[in-house]
Amino acid sequence: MCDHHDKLRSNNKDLQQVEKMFDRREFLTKTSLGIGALALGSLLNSEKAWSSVKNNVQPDLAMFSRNDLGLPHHVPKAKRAIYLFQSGGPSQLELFDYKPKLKDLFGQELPESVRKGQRLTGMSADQTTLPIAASVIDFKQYGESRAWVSNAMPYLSEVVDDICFIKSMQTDAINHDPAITFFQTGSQQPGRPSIGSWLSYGLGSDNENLPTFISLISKNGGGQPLYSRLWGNGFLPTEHQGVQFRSGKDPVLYLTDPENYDGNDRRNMLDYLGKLNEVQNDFYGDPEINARMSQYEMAFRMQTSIPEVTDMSDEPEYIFDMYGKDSRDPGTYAANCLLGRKLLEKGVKFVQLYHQGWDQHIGCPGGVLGNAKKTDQANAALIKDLKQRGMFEDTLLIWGGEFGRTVYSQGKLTAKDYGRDHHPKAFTMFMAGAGVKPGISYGETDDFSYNVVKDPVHTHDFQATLLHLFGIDHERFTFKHQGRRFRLTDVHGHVVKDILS
Amino acid sequence: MKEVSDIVLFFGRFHPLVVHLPIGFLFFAFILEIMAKFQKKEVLRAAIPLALFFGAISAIIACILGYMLSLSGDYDTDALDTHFWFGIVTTVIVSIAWILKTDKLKNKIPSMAKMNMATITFIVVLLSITGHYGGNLTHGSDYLTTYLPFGKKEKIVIPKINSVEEAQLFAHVVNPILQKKCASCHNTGKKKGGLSLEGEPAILKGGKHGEVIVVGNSKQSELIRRVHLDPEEEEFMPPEGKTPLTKEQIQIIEYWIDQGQASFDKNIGTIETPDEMKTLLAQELGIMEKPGAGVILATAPAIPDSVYKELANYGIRIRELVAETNQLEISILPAGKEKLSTEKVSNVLRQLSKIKDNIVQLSIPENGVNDEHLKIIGTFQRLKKLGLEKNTITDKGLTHLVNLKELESLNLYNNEAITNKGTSLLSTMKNLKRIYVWGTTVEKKENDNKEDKENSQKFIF
Repeated sequence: MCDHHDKLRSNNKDLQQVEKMFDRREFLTKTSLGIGALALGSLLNSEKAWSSVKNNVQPDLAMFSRNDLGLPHHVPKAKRAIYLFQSGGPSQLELFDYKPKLKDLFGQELPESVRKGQRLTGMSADQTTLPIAASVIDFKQYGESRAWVSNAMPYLSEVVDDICFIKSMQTDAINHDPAITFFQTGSQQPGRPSIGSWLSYGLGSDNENLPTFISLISKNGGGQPLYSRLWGNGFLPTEHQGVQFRSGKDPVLYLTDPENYDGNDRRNMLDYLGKLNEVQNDFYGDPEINARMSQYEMAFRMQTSIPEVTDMSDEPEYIFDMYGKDSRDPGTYAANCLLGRKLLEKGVKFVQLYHQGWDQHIGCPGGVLGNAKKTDQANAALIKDLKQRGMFEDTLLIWGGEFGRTVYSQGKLTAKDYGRDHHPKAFTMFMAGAGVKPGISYGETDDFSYNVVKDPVHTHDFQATLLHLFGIDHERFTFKHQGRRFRLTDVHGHVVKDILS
Repeated sequence: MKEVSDIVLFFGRFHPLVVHLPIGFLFFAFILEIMAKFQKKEVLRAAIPLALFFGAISAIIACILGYMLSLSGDYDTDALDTHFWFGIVTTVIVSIAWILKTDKLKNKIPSMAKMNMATITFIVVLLSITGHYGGNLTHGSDYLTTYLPFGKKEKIVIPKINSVEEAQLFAHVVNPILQKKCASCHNTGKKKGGLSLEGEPAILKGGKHGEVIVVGNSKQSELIRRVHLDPEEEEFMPPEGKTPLTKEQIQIIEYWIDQGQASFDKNIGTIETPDEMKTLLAQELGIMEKPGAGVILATAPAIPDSVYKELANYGIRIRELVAETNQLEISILPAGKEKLSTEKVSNVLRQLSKIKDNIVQLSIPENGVNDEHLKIIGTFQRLKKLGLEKNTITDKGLTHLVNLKELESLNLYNNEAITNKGTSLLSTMKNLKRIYVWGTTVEKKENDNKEDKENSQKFIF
């Protein structure tokens, strides 16, 4: 019975003397407490010692909240962003990366000196030949910046002077799932928080009545599936996950009161529910309870804020005309762009838009033209619209997919038609708006648009730059989870300074 | 200075190791003495001579090694002398104490001179003083007190500067680099290689291998040669374990030696400076908006709690533009369909005017802001960005904004009553770069006049 928890106290004097002495266990307990107290003492003068991980979304204090994470680190250029994710991997060769020399090489084998043993996907690895396919879509130069844009994007060519093309993007993954997860979370394996969640966690909300991070998927895309982890919170507190809007007339379901219920006592109901949850929270301390409580409150506020923000009736005709006729059909890419603009205007920080369908393994020219038709006018309209509202100077707009496409044809190459496989080593993205140099093209690829020859920009570099524009040093913005401090850019990433204005 | 043989320095460097032996032995002797006296454990007294004996022996060895180390000439002579003599005195007294205490000699010494509590306390005091001076030599004289709680932190105040031109090349740029990267070993107290980089005379004097700076010729300068070496090399500076100079910092020091003629008082404005160097200097000074590195703001005055509370009552959102700067970004979004009443907007603005020096960005869209309100906003001198879209402002109201000298961006869209007459007032605002006038009555004007053209480019329709 060597239990130290119950202390014996003796009447015998000699034994009492022994009892007064420290035993080893007691010594260790007391000294470690003492050292702990000392350490705590040295923290006393910094307020941070007492604050929880984060409280900048506490509704009561929300009116002024010093950011507990010490963010932003520097003056942010961007206050909000809209990320137009072109899922599937749009072909840089048919859109922005003009390679006229390929015309002469039509049908020739892709030289090994270019490929350098680069791995191929299972879809074209066993092809006996890798014939070079030049783009059948013509290119022209536009604007004062003389940027090359193909005929597939006539509307975008009007606004090239507002855009920064990055032609030297690179990623690590070659298949859709890991590549898109990599772009959105900084890791090919699922489980990390997405960009929008990081921003929501770090910078908090600009409008308590709406989620900070909203994702929209266009209904007129189709193709490779998307997964909710792409806008998931990973290990960050649950309230920072993206709220996915449905692509249809009612982006959020069940916001209206059911029949025969006037909703007048809902506030009371939520208050009582809140009290019950508070009891649970005191008992278990599970952060998920907090998340649940804040989401109930958010849903309550969204009952009024969402119908208002999704109401398109206050948009004038010419706005719809600018975004194209699709914009009247809720859930299309164009309508989502317009909705995205409205959300940003109302203080949503990060709108993540997805358009599927850019996976042209076969019928590349037709597929590119078809998707461009669905998206081009809205892309350009969004830039113009943000500009005239004065939002373009602090809104970051990003267009891009998870990888590019190969110069060689997957499947049969004919004069008019060909397919293109996934290509991670070189592709084009563009950024525009807040803090990004307008009217430039950054980085260069070789004559085959296969390797980057100048100024490569890796996915992590892009993520670091994005955070930088929001005033965040990507190396200092971490979250401790399972004993390790995690970053969006893991241990990589360099801010691409040359594209910053 | 005459050369000291390597073997002497080799042994000398064991001094910092060996000195801990006498410290330990003698403190232990002290503890034994106390235990013996206060806990009446006389038996412990027998061990005291032994502790003193080893204390004395190791002290003598430490002295010899210390002397060998001092021959290297890396240390400031004044500070060294104090440590030197305290060390010797301590050693002598310890030796005497042992002689008094030891049994072998006990009988030959008159009983008056018995070693007692006072002696050993005195030894401990001496030991502490010697140790302290020794520590100062190695770590610098402010090592112990730098993080002293409640202590006053004295910092050398360099006058604040706003532009690269007015900065002093040495005092503002070069010296901070040297202090940060070199001075922990090359200072007045601790002169590694005989070199101190504290102050003009010391820098010009150089180290034991001669001058470190050749005025006007960075290539010949030892300091530059050392920092350019392969980090693996023995002579590379700073040595392994210390943070090396950045490429930019090296360029700046080279520029100081070459173009700046290693001057200690020239302003950068008086030196011929290429633009790239200006950028580097500005970055090092932390005064320029450098692409890539974020802009840090100066800290504005603290904001009284009462103002917060008042604003919170109105549901106003306040946010710091950069954490812990008190520089605010305030955004008053319309809550739902309800706009704030005219009166409420006035009240809010009146509250905000109490902290007007803290407000850098202000946005009040769609809240019925009118010309009267602009009168208050017109006094917010620090404003850089002002969003007034979808309000009811007229030309008359814009007159109040003319004094906002720092304003860079003004959003007026959907204030239908604003015309060219109103916006022409704004042409005097030098910093104003963007004026959003979509949905107003302002018309695009075709101008041939160059100045007007520049002015009209500010307008975004």
